[in-house]
Amino acid sequence: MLFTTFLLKSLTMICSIVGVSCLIGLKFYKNMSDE
Amino acid sequence: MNMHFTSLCGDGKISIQQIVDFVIAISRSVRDPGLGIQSVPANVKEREKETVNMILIIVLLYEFLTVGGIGLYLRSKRKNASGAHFTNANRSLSVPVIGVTLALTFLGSLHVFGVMELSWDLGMAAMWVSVAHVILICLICLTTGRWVHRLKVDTVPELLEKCFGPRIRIASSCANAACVFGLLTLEAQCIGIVFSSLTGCTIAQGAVVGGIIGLLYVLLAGMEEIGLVNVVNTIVMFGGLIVTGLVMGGFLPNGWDGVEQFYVSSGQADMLKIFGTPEVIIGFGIPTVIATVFAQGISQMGLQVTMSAKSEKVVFKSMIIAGILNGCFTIFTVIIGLSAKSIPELAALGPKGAGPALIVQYLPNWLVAWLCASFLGALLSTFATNVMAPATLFVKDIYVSVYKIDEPEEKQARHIKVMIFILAVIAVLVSFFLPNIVEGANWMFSWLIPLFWITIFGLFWKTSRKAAEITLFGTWAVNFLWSFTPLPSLLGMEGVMNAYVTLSLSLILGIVSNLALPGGAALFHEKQGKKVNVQAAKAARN
Repeated sequence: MLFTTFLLKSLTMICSIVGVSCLIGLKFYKNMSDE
Repeated sequence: MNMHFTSLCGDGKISIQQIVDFVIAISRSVRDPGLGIQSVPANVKEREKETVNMILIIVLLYEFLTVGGIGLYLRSKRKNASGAHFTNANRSLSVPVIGVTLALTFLGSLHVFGVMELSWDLGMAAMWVSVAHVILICLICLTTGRWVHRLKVDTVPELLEKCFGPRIRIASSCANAACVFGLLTLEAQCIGIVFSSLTGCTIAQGAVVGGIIGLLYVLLAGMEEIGLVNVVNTIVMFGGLIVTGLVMGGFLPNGWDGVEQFYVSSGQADMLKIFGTPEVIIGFGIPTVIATVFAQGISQMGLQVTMSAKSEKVVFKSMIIAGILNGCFTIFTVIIGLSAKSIPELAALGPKGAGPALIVQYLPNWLVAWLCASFLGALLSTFATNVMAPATLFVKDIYVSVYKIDEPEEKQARHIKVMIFILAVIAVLVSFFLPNIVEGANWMFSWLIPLFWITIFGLFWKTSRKAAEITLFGTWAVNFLWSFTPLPSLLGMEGVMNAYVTLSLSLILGIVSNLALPGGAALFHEKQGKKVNVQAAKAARN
């Protein structure tokens, strides 16, 4: 139980940071080069 | 991997020194069982010699098969590969390869050994190390990594030359190469520790074996080899870690419940909070994030990976893989350190030895071999990119740039290979005397912070060579005084880390000097939606 709770909390935290960054990045996505 | 944070939390000071002590103590205990922490060699001796040999053979076989096999396959496939292919894979790497390589580049000895020890004092809040590195990876994929790719540069100093001219290029390449080399020596030492913990051989012998595998890793096929081996390593590594998480509870004396009860009943329930107490957040979490992000965000070793990507969009997309993989690794090392403290016989070994002892003593042989192969994979990948980065900097930014040598890429690649060999040998030799080197690496990290800020100013605000020089040399001078003179105590600021000093000075000197001095247009100056303008910046500089 301890490990499962810790795992879920950590994954939520990590995915939140990456998710917010993705949302920020998508704003500039059109300007990114394809090559 | 970031090594330079200090924090005040709970009842004591958690610092890089503790990690250094950890490595030194294990090193001593391996060399002389009568000294220091004896957990690693002592536990090794408890195992049957045949079992130890079997584990070692499996681990070595795995490393040689993946590194050698993939390297030889790539060599036969690309017999006429160009020199640029060696350092940046002809900018052809895809999202999975870039994502995995970026994740593993920043996944080294701190994540493997350092976090196990940190969790002894901080508990689950040691995850702040993970938070810092995930933010770092996001920053690189959103900003610096994309920028270096867009400008088609091979090194970070080359980017700075575009903004500020050749003098800044040389200065920054020296700082960047020295910093990465400092990390390389640490990785070599930690690879030695993994071999020592398996076999009872000396750390020196272990570092030599690790150095040979690390050289094969990078020399056979360069950046593409590093990328593909990393993909294989990641599958093996996370497989091992997930299996460890699933089965470890069954091997602990009182299971996961016993670990939880230990912390609750001993009045340390705060250790089970993932963000820790407010003191931990202020004294450890935030400083770790600041130091990691601003020192490594402009480091050659991370950005060399993004330079090898197919496109800017690939860099951006790889953020999802890199961020999640890098962040998740720490979950397992934190839980190993946390569990070790709850077992009395392991707790007696102290924070430095308990985590490795838990792996060696409580887990079954097949899992020990799997975990050692995983940890070695993480360390070797960091070793590979850390040796590639300073060698590339030396050849491209010092040898070719300073002496104005017009060489084809193939010849430069040969020189880079020679430099890789020389640097790896020196790093392995220097790693035998780790203490001073780690302190040196810690100090050198803070040198990169002004580079980050002058890059931002040069790309988006103004390209003033004089302002860049004032920012760089002013910050470095104060950093030097802060390290080697009683200046901090004279100012009553003994506890303030070098990273804070260089961050504040970089911003103050950078902003003031750029406001006061004239300069050219920024490299990414945008006007009315029209991106530009390199030519104008060049003209203003000249």
